[in-house]
Amino acid sequence: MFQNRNTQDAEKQAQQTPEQLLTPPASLWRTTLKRFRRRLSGRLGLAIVAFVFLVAIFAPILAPYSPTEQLIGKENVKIREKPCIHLLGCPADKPQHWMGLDGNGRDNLSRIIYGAQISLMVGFFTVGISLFLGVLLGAIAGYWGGWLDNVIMRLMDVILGFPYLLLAIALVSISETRSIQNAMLAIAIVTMPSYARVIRASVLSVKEMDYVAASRALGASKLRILLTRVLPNAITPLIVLASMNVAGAILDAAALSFLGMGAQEPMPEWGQMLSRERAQVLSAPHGIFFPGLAIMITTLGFTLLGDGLRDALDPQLND
Amino acid sequence: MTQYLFRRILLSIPVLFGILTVTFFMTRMLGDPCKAILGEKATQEVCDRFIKDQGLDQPIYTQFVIYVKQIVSGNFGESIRLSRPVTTLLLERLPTTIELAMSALILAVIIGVPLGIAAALWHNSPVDILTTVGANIGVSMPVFWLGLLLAFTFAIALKDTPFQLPPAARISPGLQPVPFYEKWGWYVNPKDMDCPRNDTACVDEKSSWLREDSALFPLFQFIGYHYIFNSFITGDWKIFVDVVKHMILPAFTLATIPLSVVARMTRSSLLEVLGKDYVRTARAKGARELRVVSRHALRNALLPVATIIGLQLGALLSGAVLTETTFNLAGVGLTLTDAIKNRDFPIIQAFTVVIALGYMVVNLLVDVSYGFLDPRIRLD
Repeated sequence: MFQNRNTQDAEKQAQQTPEQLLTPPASLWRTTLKRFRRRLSGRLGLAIVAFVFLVAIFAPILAPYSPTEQLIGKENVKIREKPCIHLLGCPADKPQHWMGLDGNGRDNLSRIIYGAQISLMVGFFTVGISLFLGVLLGAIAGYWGGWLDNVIMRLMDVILGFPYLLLAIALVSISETRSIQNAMLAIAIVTMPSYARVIRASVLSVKEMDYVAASRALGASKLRILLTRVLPNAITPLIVLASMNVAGAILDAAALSFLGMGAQEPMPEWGQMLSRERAQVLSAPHGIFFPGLAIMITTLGFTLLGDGLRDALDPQLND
Repeated sequence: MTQYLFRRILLSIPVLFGILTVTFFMTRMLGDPCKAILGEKATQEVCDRFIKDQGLDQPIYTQFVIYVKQIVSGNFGESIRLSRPVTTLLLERLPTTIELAMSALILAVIIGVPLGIAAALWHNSPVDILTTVGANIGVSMPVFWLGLLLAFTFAIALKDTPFQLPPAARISPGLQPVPFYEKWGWYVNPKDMDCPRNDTACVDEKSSWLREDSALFPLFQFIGYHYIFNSFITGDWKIFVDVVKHMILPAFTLATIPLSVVARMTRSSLLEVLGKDYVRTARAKGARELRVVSRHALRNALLPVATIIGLQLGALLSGAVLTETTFNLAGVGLTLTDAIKNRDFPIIQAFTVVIALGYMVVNLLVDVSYGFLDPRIRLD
């Protein structure tokens, strides 16, 4: 399946010398890695994502303050103090807050650094839940077929019939408490139909193949067939879809928090920080500038990484 | 073709019914609207009366039947919190979102397509690199952040320059657009009639053919609430300039993501087409480059672009929620978010149905348009 998709590789194989033909063919992962390294956008994305990961892991060391520490009264500062960097002309004897203070007198830089942990967690967990739910439902629908297939896939159609953000808002509203966990679950539910469709199509195309029939004849369980025969065939589009959706999940979770339906005070979540300082944008723009920039850079990193992965895994797929 | 349309419409009925059902039960799961609307201090007695007035004490299936009846009749009841008919709210607020989304889509196409073409024609040039980088940044930018930054830049940093733009609302306070049907004398506002109270004869005499109780009146109102369109056709240039100015920032904000997607798609699709044999043939027979690009390449390259524009509509509606919140525009998105927060059931139910319906109709139109754009595709 993988080989015949990529005609370029097939051509290359045809031109190989006899000695080369004796060596085992390059594995999927190796060719992918090779193609991935050729693309600048993928490398750039990987660098940005790695940077955000490092910031998240070393947050306690990097952050000059605790993300929840209120500095009013402890230092000679006022709320929403403007950024102060000595190199850029701010007096050295003033407390150095590179990104200024927020409305509660907390250091913005420290909050943004700790926010990286939350954003990464949101991105990966949301996609993880979504992938799990989507694969499960799609596999059931494709495998059992019949009325179950109809019910599940029509339900997916209904989910896709709503604009996703509105549905996510409604789902979050069902629960009394607003939290980042609920926002993540809502986004996962809203995005699962795409995984379900991919996996269902894949199950349907593989179900009647001889090797699946052979496995069944050998007495393999449905779960085993699903995991060892069906999933590997759908892994490429799933990886591509999932890697692209990490960026979307981060952006959507930030949007929900911005609307007050996600992370709550005092959690240093970027969207929530932006939302809190929103009313003061005209007098203290630094309060919204840096959290938004952080969201953008992280999302950009994952978008580029996803693009690079897609190009590397499946050169035939279009934009 | 007719058969295809018929089948598509038939197929969408169960999905639409599913959307109705999901919406209904989800609104009932949002919890007690009493506390949300009357406040935490509302006593049990007050709440009981409120629940009874709203018909929420009836069995859930009775409520569902009432709800379906409302949808079929087009009468969605009254908003619990705003105490106004939901239909009136819809007529008033849907046009804001439509004008916002249309402006954004137009911006996305008239900027995105030429950028994509330029990037493909001058492949690997600075134009190409800038477009690609810009498109990637565009899809990664939080809509609400860009909106706030634009609001700050154009309302504060550029204050008292010719570039100053309003950061919120749809029209400057004090300006009242006159609907086209009133301006053209199709309808006379009862306020302008100077009739004594309850003097129906006088009202009858001064009324024009269009009256408030006419079946078509809501349609006229709906069209009239499209402020940009209305002020344009009535030639009210002062209001036209004002509403367009109010729309620039939100439209640009909402347009970033579709613009980036359209530019990227145009670029990659044109690049692919330029490598095709028929382009080589065109060049070989001596056609000029402009003709090769415009006649042979672009026509084929823009087909996937049309597809992607259609697919952007869902994202556009989600983006509209954020844009309307950021710029405080009372459109469908902002109204619906507020209604969900306040458990204003009638608004949630009505607005969701209208959005879902509109969504479906647009998707259908997009599918049908393929047949016209590409005669090779036959819908059957």
